[in-house]
Amino acid sequence: MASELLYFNGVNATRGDFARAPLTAQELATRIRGDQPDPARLDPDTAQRNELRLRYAQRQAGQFGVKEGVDEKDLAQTGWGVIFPADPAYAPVREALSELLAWRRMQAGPRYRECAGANGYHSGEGKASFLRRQGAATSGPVDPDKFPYYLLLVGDPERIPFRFQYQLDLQYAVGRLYFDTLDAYAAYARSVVTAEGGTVQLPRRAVFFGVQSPDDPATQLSTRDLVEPLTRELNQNRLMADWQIDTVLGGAAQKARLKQLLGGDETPALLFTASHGVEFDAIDPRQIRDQGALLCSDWPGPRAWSHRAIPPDFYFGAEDVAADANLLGTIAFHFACFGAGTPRLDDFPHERGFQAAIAPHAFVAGLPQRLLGHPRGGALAVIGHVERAWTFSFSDTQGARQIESFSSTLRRLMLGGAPVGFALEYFNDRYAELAAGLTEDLENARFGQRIDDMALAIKWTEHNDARSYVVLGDPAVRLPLAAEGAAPTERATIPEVRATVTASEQPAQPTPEAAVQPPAPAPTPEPAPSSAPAPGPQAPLQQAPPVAAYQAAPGYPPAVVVYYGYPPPGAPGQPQPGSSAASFGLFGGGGKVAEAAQKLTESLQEFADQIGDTLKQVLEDAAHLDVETYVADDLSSVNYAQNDFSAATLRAVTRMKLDGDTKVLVPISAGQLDERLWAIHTSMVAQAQANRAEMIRAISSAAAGLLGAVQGK
Amino acid sequence: MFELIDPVPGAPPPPGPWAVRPTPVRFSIDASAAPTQIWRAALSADPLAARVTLGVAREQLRAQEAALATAEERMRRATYAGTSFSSSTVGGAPERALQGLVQELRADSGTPTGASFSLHETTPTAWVAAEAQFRAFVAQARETISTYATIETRQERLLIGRTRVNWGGDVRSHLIAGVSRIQAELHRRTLTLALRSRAAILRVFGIVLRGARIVAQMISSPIGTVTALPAAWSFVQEVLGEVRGSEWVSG
Repeated sequence: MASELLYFNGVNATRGDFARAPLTAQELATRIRGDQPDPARLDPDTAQRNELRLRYAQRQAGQFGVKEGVDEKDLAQTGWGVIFPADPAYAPVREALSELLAWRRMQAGPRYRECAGANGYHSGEGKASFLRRQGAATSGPVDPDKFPYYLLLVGDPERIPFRFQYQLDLQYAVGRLYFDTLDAYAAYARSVVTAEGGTVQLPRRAVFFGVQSPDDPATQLSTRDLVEPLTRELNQNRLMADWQIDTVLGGAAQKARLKQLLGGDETPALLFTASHGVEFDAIDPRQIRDQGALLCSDWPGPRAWSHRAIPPDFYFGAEDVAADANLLGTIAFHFACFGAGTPRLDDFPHERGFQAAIAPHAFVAGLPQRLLGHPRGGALAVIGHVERAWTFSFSDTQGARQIESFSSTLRRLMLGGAPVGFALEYFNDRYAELAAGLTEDLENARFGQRIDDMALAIKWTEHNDARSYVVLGDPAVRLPLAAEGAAPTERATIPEVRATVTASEQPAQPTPEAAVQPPAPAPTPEPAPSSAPAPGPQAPLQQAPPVAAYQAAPGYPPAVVVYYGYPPPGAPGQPQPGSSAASFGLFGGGGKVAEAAQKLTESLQEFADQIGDTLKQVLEDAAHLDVETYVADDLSSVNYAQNDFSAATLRAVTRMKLDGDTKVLVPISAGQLDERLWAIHTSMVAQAQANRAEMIRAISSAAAGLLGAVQGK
Repeated sequence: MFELIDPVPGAPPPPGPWAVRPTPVRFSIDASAAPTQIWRAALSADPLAARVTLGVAREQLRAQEAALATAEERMRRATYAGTSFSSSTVGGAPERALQGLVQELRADSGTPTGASFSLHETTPTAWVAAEAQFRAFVAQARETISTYATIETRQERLLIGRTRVNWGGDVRSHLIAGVSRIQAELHRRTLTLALRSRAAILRVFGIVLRGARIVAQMISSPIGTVTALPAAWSFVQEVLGEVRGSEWVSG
């Protein structure tokens, strides 16, 4: 058994190959155990490991979720809360979501909670310290009088990390919302309120979309051992009699068909997909936009399409959702690698415990963003996987137990009318159970007890799978279903909704910052001009519409410049464009200020000249980016100031061109790839990309401001 | 522990944990060895202590970045408060300093202040001092975009990593042979810290420029944007100083 190969559900679209080669259970177990078996390899946070054990114990005793006597489907009892990053730049986002917040405030009454401003999430915080600040218990059943059960995190995973979401999700029902534009936030808010207001009444129809590609064991397994058993079980359930459950399997699971299911005429209330999620190298400009997109059966499989980049024709991503899509009310569940998002660092256990950067920064996948924030009305929630999904975790070797988590979650959604966050609690229970068992195994291994490789590998894969399922969207949404026997009606849409904030007050781009564990998120790599712009954290936000009025939320500063009783710029008496000399001349009475200001003008002029030259050179050199990594026995002997590197050995090189042509020299040691050095080098590449993008932004901003200052505008 | 060796005389400390040290003057001519900004972290040999040091530094920078994000709005409010209630002081030290400088400017230009119509006999010393500092900052910002940045990480006295980054973003790293995973991480985090601080210099520059326009446009005084620059610069420094002083210096 230990020699059986384990397959991972991801295909690298940059290289056109499996994202990770299959491993034997023995190989994987060796990596999980490491040189020194230690439960910290599961989660370095001791408090979290203790919480996992507690949750497992509570589950054994039938006590979990909300405290006794609270109905999880009634927000007035469970409460509802929203958590923003502690950053005033998120005020416009709060404003864009105001329709949803007002709606939830009405439903949850006194158990409504907003954590924003100083009370919001602080960078680097763990669950326990956050909850303590809110006056809530840090473990055990949730008491909604102290802190609500349903919690919506708002922000990208650099501002509020995925790890925090996993931790909080263990005790609460948690979802996350992140969009590139304020309009999308406003559209999502309108979608939820419209759906819950009774306008949307969807027929009871679910579709299971199972991709199966030739020569691809992963999708063959996911169809055979996940999609087919799930649909069989649901069809056999007598309570499902009023549900229409359709399957689209194998060769039929093509991109064109998926387009019909995600916004087209066939869009169901519930869509479940099982496929590869496409993965890209961290230096690929498509990564932020397309990673986690669903690879359809158009892909002819790994043998027929070996070592060739995978074109967008084979996968379904954000750009494939039509502008006139009708999605309002749908809930989607994507079993796919990176279907919900990507962390910056690899979760996969490496030999010697090294973690590699797999993306320039953590991000929410593009497809769910598009589905949720669609301007005509979007999906209400997307359940997906962060990082890689593991096909092996639902294989029959453990009696198909993992199927039950999927199955129970779906039943709770479809039959019980449960909010999506509550429905997903089965995965959290599973995560707690597996983590508790794994912790025990690794502790035993530390004291020399032999642990079966296969059992360890199975538990580890299942543990990761269960942990990494997340809800994108409000965790309190549920399927807006028509009454039994009701005549089908046309799916509603929402009128166009625009965020009512000014473009100048949009949220700031996440700054490139090193996280405590793991470190160093970075901004989006600069996209190649030849390709569509990657939806970086800020760029599309600049497209949000300016409007006249903005009502500041309590606790936030006003968001527009208001000339309190003074004439606007340009009015008589105010500095005129191009009148710097004139206004400056008003100080020409011989004051010291006038003299010094003259020097200042000269200094700025020199800077303006320099910045012009630099920008010109940057643009000329932007066609390529070179990253070189050397090693030397004694770094002080390397005369770097004179570019004399004879005392050092060049070990790795990456040369990237805007046309996508990338050349790399990889370090080899004893005939093998020197993985450690390669990981260091790739992190330098990510750093270089991030730095270039940041510097160009900063220089351009300074240049624009400088022009205005010098001209007196 | 963290120092920026800067060839610009009188260069101010950039956002982050960095103390500025002038580039040593050499009495030799070497055209190819142009002075560069060197960002140097001297860390403990104990990996845990080194990580903690970098973590604290990162938080310090993050706090200053967060403070910077509020600077423009604070300046706008302070300027408005200064025009409406000019005899009162509002906000903290940055707001008070800004109002003081604005009043100096008005006095120098002969414009009556909102607070009083008395004549200012004294020269605007605070403004002149701020102007000198701002010019050093402009030179530093200019240096930032025109030369290489060199980032060095040392553990005790051992240089474990050195990276040079040019303004175009090309990166050349030298690592000590047999570099450990932790050493690589320490250097990478130093690099991240330095590059963020480097970018923050330009960000400060942009904020000061925009802030000067706010000051120039919103107070009832015919001063130009250029003249308001030192006031805006001082304000931003005060805002950064608040964070430095209140949260980190004590440690």
